[in-house]
Amino acid sequence: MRHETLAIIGASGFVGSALCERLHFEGCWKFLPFIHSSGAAARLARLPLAETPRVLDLLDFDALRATLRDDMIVVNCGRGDNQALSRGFQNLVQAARAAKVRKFIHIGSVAIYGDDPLPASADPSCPVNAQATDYGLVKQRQDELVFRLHAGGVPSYILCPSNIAGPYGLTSVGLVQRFAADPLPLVDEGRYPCNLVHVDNLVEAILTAAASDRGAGRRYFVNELEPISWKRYFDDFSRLLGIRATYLPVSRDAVIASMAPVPVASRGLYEHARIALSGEFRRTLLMMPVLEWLNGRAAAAFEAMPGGWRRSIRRKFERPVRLPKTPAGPSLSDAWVRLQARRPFHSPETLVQELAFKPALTYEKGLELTAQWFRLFGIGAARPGYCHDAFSG
Amino acid sequence: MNDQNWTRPPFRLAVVGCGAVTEACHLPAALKSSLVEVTALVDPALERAERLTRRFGLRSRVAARLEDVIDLADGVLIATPNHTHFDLARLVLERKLPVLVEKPLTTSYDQALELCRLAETNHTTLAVGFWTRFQPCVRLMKSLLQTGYLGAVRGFHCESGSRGGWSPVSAYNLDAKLAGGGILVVTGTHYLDRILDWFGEPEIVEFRDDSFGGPEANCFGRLRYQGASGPFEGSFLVSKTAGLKNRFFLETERYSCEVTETEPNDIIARPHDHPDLVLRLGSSCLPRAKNADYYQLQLEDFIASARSGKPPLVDGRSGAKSVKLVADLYAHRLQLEEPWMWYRRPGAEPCGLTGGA
Repeated sequence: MRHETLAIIGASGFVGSALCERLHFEGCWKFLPFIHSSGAAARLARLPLAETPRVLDLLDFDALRATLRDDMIVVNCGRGDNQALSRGFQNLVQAARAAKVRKFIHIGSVAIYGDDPLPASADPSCPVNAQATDYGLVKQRQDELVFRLHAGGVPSYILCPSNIAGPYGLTSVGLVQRFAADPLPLVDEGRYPCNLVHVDNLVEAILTAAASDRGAGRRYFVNELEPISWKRYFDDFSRLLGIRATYLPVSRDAVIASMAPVPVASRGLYEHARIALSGEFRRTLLMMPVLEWLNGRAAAAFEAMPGGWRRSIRRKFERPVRLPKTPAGPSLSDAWVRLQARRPFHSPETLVQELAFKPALTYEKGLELTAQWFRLFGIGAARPGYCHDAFSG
Repeated sequence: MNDQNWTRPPFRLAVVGCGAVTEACHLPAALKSSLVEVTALVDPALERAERLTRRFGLRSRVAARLEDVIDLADGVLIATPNHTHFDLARLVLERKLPVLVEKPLTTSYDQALELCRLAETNHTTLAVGFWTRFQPCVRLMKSLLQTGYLGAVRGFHCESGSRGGWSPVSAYNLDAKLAGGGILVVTGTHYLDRILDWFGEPEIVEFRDDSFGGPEANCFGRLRYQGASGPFEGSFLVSKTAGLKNRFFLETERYSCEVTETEPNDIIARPHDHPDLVLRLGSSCLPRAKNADYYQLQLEDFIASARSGKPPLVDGRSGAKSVKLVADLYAHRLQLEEPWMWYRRPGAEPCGLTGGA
């Protein structure tokens, strides 16, 4: 048993729960699970843990400071809304620094490189993309705070998976739902790397970083050792699940073009006036009594006008009704399509070289274990009454 | 709503337990009902009761103990951690007052029977909070099964799941003893209640859950019936780790039927002789509402029972049967196999400690 205690923040989440289960059954580390609320802690609650999961609000700095100790290794698996990701994370880092924790391990994200990452982002030291999504920008800010924490004397690691798959995972469930829906668009024959890492391999990376006494202060990609193409992943997974996956070919160029921001049409004075006079807008405003009174006066004045004036005013604001075409072909805004357009392979080579990381599961084994979890829900199992569309949205 | 109740003064209700389900469901239902006046809110953590009075602008008395306010009530609603139901309900029934107890009725069958006997001896109402029974599709299904309209039952399967769910203020759901179990009790009992109501008491073929000592997060069971037209089997799957569609499939001689949470007014039926046909079976006798509040219907049914002496839709005996079936299922419990937890296997190599220099 190690001397340090792993303080697992976000212990009831997908990664946190997988980590706690592994720690519980292996018994090599003392650990304390911290959760946001008891409702989502079902996976943890079923275990006879030495320490009951504790509710901890990251927005409460004093509670955080009172919780963290200098014999702890903080593992941050927390997610949540932007406030938890920003202010809550800032509190966590400050409390970790104040408590002089032994080590800080943070789960980052390749979202820091944007929706269409550059080939250079295959290297974890590549500069982040300032045009990333809101989530990517929040994760960039988190990484900056972790690097500062490291510079301030707390050895810190950023483990950066791309997409995390495995039992209980929403990514895997989402893919099964996608298989059960329309044919899946396949981008450039599905040739780009899927960067899907099994959650147990991410857990292995966390434990490797926790046990390591070198390599701190860096960002590490966590992934399968060799690139797996989307087509291979889709084919292998659907075959194990007993689902017949069907594809529609689409080009990466078309997907990238669809990701360009849609220019917002400038709205002139007429458009503003038309909105102001529209029934929807007025009905909303009329919820305020004073505006209801004003509207009554304006309506009375309008009705008092000669008929020709009224008709003329109405005509001036008439515009042709525009009915958009129903789009033909697959939706390119589907997350499963956009993910396929990413080209770099985020290799775990640095993790292997620096921290001697060894994945817990091979790609094939991880996929097989994931498929076994789905059999609990009747997918790929020969049980009557079950359906492939078992999962809700 | 019972028409005769309109002319009477409101039913004075004491609500015991001011946690999540009271705040989100029971109290809004009581406040919407013109039949009810909430005269008291009880919670050992007084600040919770006081918070609810502020939130809903109530003038109800607040108290830490039911005994202190029970004289202000014509009846009591109990929505507290499961292990406290028995003592609280017994206190109410001993005063010969009617009581609506949130499910499960109790955490043991003996306790449930004792409450039933007490209610019967004192000629008062003991109702149990299985609100899904008030959904028109559930009531219609019972009627169709009783009349044989669907033909002989061949089998059924139900599945219910959500990622996460209720976060009780007291977090008692993390303790199997306080909750009386895990997801089987929290959610599965709604389906067990329906199964008992429709088909009667089953023989247990198999029950598996994923508990390692704490409340289970997933469970799966198989039940068997010796039906009048031949034996049939049914199964259920309840999960607190996967979002499922919350539906009940019933296979009969003539139809494949589906009852879902999203369409509580109708049964979706596919006749075997026209598999491409989708029929919606609804009842013209049962109230249909787009956004019906089943907690309100349940409360008004309880009040009607308390005032008329007629049994409520879900009475204590129904609640006791559910408690018994839960106990029997746990008694048959086998470990749910989870082969994806490879590190549980004997001889699995511990990793992580070997990493690093």
